[in-house]
Amino acid sequence: MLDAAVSVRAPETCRSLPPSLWRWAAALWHWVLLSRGEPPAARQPPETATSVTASNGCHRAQGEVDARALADRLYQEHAHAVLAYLCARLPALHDAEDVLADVFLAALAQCATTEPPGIGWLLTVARRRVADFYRRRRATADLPASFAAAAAMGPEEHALRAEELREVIARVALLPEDQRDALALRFAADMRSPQIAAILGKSEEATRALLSRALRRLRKELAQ
Amino acid sequence: MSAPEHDSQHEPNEPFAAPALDHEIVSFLALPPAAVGADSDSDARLIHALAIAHRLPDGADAVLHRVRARLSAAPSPVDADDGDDLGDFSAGEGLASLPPHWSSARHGSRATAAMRTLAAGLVIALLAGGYLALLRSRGTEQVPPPQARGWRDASITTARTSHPLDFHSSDGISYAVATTGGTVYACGSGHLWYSTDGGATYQSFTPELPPPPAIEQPLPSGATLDRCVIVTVPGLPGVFAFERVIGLGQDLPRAIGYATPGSNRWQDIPMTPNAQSVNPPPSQGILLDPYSIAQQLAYDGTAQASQGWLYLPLHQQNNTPSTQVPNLLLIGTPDFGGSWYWIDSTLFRQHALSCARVVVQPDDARRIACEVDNGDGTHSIWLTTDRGASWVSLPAPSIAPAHLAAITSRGVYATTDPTPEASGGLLLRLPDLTAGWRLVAPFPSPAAALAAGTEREVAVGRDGAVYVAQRVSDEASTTVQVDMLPKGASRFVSVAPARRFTPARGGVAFGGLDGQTPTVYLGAAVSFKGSVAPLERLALVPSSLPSPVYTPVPTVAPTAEPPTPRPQCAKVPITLAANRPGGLGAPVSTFPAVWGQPKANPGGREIFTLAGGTLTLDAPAGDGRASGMTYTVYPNVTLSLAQAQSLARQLMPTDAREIYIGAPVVHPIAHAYCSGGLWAAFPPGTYDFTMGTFEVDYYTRTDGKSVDHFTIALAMLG
Repeated sequence: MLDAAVSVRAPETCRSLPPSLWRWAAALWHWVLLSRGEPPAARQPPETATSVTASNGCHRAQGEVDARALADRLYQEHAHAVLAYLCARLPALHDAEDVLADVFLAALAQCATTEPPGIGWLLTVARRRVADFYRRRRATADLPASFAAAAAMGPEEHALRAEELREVIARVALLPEDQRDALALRFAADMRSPQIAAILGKSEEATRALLSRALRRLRKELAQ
Repeated sequence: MSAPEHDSQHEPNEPFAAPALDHEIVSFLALPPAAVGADSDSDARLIHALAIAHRLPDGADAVLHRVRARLSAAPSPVDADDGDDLGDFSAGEGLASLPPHWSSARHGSRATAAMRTLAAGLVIALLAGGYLALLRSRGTEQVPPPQARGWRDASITTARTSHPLDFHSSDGISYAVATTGGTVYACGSGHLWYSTDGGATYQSFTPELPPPPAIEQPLPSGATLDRCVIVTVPGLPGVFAFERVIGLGQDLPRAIGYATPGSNRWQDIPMTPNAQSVNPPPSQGILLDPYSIAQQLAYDGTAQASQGWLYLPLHQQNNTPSTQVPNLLLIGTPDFGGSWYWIDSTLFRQHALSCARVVVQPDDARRIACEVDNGDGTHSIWLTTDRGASWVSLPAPSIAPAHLAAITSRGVYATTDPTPEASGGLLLRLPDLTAGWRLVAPFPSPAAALAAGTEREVAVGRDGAVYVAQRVSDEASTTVQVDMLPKGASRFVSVAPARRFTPARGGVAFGGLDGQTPTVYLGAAVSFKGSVAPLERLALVPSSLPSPVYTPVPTVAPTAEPPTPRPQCAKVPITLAANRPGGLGAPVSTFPAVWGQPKANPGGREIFTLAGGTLTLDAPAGDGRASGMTYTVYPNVTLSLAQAQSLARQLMPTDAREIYIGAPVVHPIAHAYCSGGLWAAFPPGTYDFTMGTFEVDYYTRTDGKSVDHFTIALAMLG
């Protein structure tokens, strides 16, 4: 029975490699990463000044309780910002929900094995998840979830004219990807230029220039 | 590009110039919303518009709440013992999502790094290839994906049989499937058969069902005797058989016994008055009569067995103080009824809780999990690892209320109601008490054909695979869908899509989960009368594989020494001679000769005086036999409990036998008895279907010792 099943479904059995084999492979890959100058996950330092710091850390030796507690603390502190960023990048709230869960599950795993991550780490993972999301499905013409909600607002909910707000949203949606990403990090996640730079992998100067170009372009197009 | 973009860091009046951008944005956002009107600075309006556009939409709070709940129920990040139970979330995704832009000093040249990469790749490929080769040669413990070949008829009427059937199938057939071993039992018109190949062939069961006892009275018109109530219990390979009288308004089953194919005889389930608790004090007040036990075994389907122990939740009559005995208690026997233990006595005494649903670990009879009703509409799950000496409450999953499903060496399994994330609910596992609940997998949503009211059966195989059958029935049809979660998988896979059967079939049963051929049966459940609908079978491996070899297990009690069969109420000779003149069951006319002339006759009740008290008789009109009596002690007379019991004995039939231990010496004290003489005096259909059982209640005075009065009355027990 087993032979027959394996012969038919050999690719699936690849996923059933025993943990010991995976650990071997992971160790080898760790070695390769070191040789290429890419520090593996376990050696990551906290990225930004706003990283959560815990006096007791969340190392594996302290067990799941500490890891879960710290992950929960991370969630309470930063989930709002991460979700806002995701809503500015993904077309539906439920998509943002799924990705948010993925991001903090990754954070939970991170807590259990190494240093506690910070908001920069969380947003970096979120960016990667957004990229994965759009790789898995065709690009959609839908507005991001938060844009769609804002466009549906009535003028009584803010001091701006509704048409003006909708025009801004429409123009933002036409910006280049990196500019939209930077704006989302700035206005949704409330990051400053140094943090955005760390997340985007750019210098601070380049990041400020990116934001500046985006804002100046919007201003120019709205003025026409 | 719509316009040439240039760095404006040297433009002094440009608020969006790069060097001061952070400061300018903060300044704009600091403006009160009311100040950002139509006539305000366009840059301020732009910044405010961007802030509004990037706000969280409605519903974000609910999302944050749900995701937090998902995280709480997520698999433990520390316990990476087997790498399964990942649910919706695959392992290693955190690593894959790490920022890609790390830069640090290189270790060696690019050529060296390339060589290391190549070497590592080769080693990984060799290891993986070796592992695959190992799989091909030796197999793996992991369950391959299910390969069901569809439902097929497993009825005895369509199967090959060792000799012609000795009953007519139109009278109805009862089926039972042993989860342990996978044997299928079929019974029609009092004739029992069995199949060890999933219903392809049936053989006549030996030992044959014993003939009805000679003590049976002629059944009243319209009543029939059903001797095909057959039941299996998880953990036991054999079958329990019961009989019952249908048509008298009562449906009390009477145990025939337990047997496995090829054994020598039917094993009785003796009742004993010496029930005891696993912990002191003794379980006084527990009612253990054959009918309660039989009813629980035959109808409730809640009994479990493991390593020779048989457990079952037992309903109690409300004839004892509630602080002494709960209405529902978990009892267990290690010797097939020779002695019974009150398993959840500690849980009841310490927490005023009792088990409503119980599961026992198949390979460790000491590990028992039970779901209790907290009394406030909620449920909780408790676990004992020492057969009831101590209990611990399992944590409640934060995501949704959990319901007990199974317990194995891998932990306790529970199911949840539908959640926003899983319309079919979730399957959770608690590996140990130090860990939190882990998400195993979301249950598959029932197909559209399965309307509201779907019942779900979950079973966990010894190999760790999980099976779920979802079923919905109406009067005309039954629709069922089967899914399976192989060990190590994170999602259920469909084994058999929803299929509608007509006419309606009975319940779902799983067979062969102990390492045999996993099989799902539809139509194997206790019903009030054997069904004429066929038994359906769904094997989860190719049917071309050899069937498991079945070795008949001789019928032996789980202990080395089978307990001596004890007389049961139903098996004592039924004879009027057992009734003493002037006693219970005797004609009222015999009383004066024993107790003297009645002192009064108010309302047709005879009152005699004897031994410092008065005896008041009850007799059903037209029968003339004493069906009950009350003895009241004169106020100036002191009668001890022992004296009262002795007096009561003189009023009982000579064959009266106590069938459960009495309640503690508090008010009232209840003792139950059975008697063939009483059965003869009041046979079924003539007065009450008591099967010869009656009860004596002693009411003490305020001193708690002397008796004020006692009553003797027919009682329908169980």
